[in-house]
This record gives sequence, structure tokens and C-alpha cells, in this order.
Amino acid sequence: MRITPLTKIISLSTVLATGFLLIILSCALFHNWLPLIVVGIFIIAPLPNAVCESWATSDDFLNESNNTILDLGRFLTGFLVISGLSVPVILANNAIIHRAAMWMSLSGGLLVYATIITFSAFFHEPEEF
Amino acid sequence: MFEEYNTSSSAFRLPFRLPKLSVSVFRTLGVYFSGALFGLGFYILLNASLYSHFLNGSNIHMRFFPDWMPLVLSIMGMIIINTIDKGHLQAALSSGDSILGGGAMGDGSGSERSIKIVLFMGFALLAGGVSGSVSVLVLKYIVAKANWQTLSMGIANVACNVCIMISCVILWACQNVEEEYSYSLAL
Repeated sequence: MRITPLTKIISLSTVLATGFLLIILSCALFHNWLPLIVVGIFIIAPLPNAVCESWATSDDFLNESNNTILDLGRFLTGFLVISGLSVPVILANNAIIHRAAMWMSLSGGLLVYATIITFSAFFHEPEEF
Repeated sequence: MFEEYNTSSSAFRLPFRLPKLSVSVFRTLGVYFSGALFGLGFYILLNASLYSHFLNGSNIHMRFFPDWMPLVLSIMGMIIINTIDKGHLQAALSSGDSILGGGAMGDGSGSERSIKIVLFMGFALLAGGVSGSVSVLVLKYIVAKANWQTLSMGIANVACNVCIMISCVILWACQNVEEEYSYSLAL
């Protein structure tokens, strides 16, 4: 069976909605809106790679500075992903949010991030030379 | 049936082989890992700080001045080390045995000397961050005979700075490993 792009879009948006639902529930059930930070972190997590990639390919091919810019993007991506994972953990660790809220916001954040990554991987058109 | 595995350069007798990691994949993963380790260090210290503010039972609290200063030093050292241009650095390091570059004739340009001095300052700041965190642990927590929960804040400080130092080393190594690869591509 061939997966059409329409199926991909519908399933990905369902997963994205589930992720947002989990995070918003984790905030609203416990009347503590701090886990909403996770959404912000995971939404801006793919940004450094995208920005630095377009920035680096706008220059010459195989320039010395290209790799430095790409490395900066990767470094920031690693930092942001770890931020999204560790913010709920340290909030729950210090009893600022509930343990259940930590698990819900962690899984919701991972779902949102995985959706964004899969979306860009599915619909990434390799450039023609 | 084993001939095909013998002819291919597999290291194992069993029919599996290690995935071939090219240099660029290794470099990419290393940079991601370095960023993750940096974040881990930062959040270890933030966790200790939140603990100090919300759950702390003792009267020793984390303040900005002694407790966050080693992190500031480490981050400054990391920025300095990783912003040095690698090509200039290779030239500077291969240009003689004398520590200050140039040699007896003094023909080394000023830029080589300044690159070495800046690199030295970067590593000194990084090492100063780690030793500063150890000294905060000793002077503020161990000398005051803090109990185990309070002591964990000082230990978290040391762990944070060690994480950031390892992250800096990995980033530096990954940026230097690329040289041969780009050379072979240029051919």
C-alpha cells in the first residue's frame, strides 16, 4: 500500500495535536502552567539547524566557515533538545510541578518534536544541481 | 559460506559488521553530543539552584557570586577556545618549538603569538572554572560541615563544570578531525 502525502499530513497532525493535548493537560490538571515552557523549547529546537543550513549553503560550496556555522546550529540543537527534556525533570525534582505533569509534558514535548522532525524529513526536497 | 566475510574486511567471524562511520557523521554526532553535554551541565547547576531556593532545609544557600562564577568562567573559556580560527592555529602551532612563537630570530608574526596567548587564556579559564567549582565545594560546603543534602549542591557545581569542560573538549576534537576529510574531498 502506498502512503499518500495526504495520509502523512493527517497522521502527523493527529500526533501533533496529541502532543499539544498532553502538554496542555499536564498544565491544566494541576493548575500550574510552567510545563508550557516545554512547548516553546521544542518548537524552537529545529530552528537553529534550519537557519544555519540555509545560511551556510548561501555561501560557496565547501567554504571553511560553512562547517563552523553548521556546527553552531548542531550545538544549539543539542542544547535545546536537552533543555526540553530536562526542564520538566528539574521542575518535578524540586516539587514545583507534579510527577505526573512531568511525564505528560515530557511525552508531549517529544511527540511535538518528533512530528516536526518527521515532517521536515518527509517533505524535504533534495536540491537539484 | 564464510569466504565472503573473509574477503570483506569484517572484523568478526559472525555475519554482522560494524556500521561504517564516516568522518563527517562522526563529527556531526560529536557536535550534537557536545551541545547536549553543555545543556546537561547547565541544568545540573540550575537544578541545584532551584533546590537551594525551594526545598533547602539548611541555611547555606546558593548565591550568584560564589556558586555561578565557575560556570561563567567555563563558558567564557569555551567561547574563546572555539572561536579561534583553526587554520591560523595549525600554522601557529607548527611554526616552531618556542612557546611564544617565532623562535630566536623573532620572525614569528604577532598574530601567531597572540593566537597562542589567547588559546592559553581560554584553557586557563576552563581549568579555572573547574578548580573554582572545587574550591567553592571545599570552602563553602565541606569546611562548614554541611550535611549530605546541602553538600550535593556543591557536588552539582563540580559536575556542571566538568560536563562543560568535556563538552568543550569534544567540540574542539570534532572540529579538528574534519581537516583530513575536507582535504580528500578537495582532491
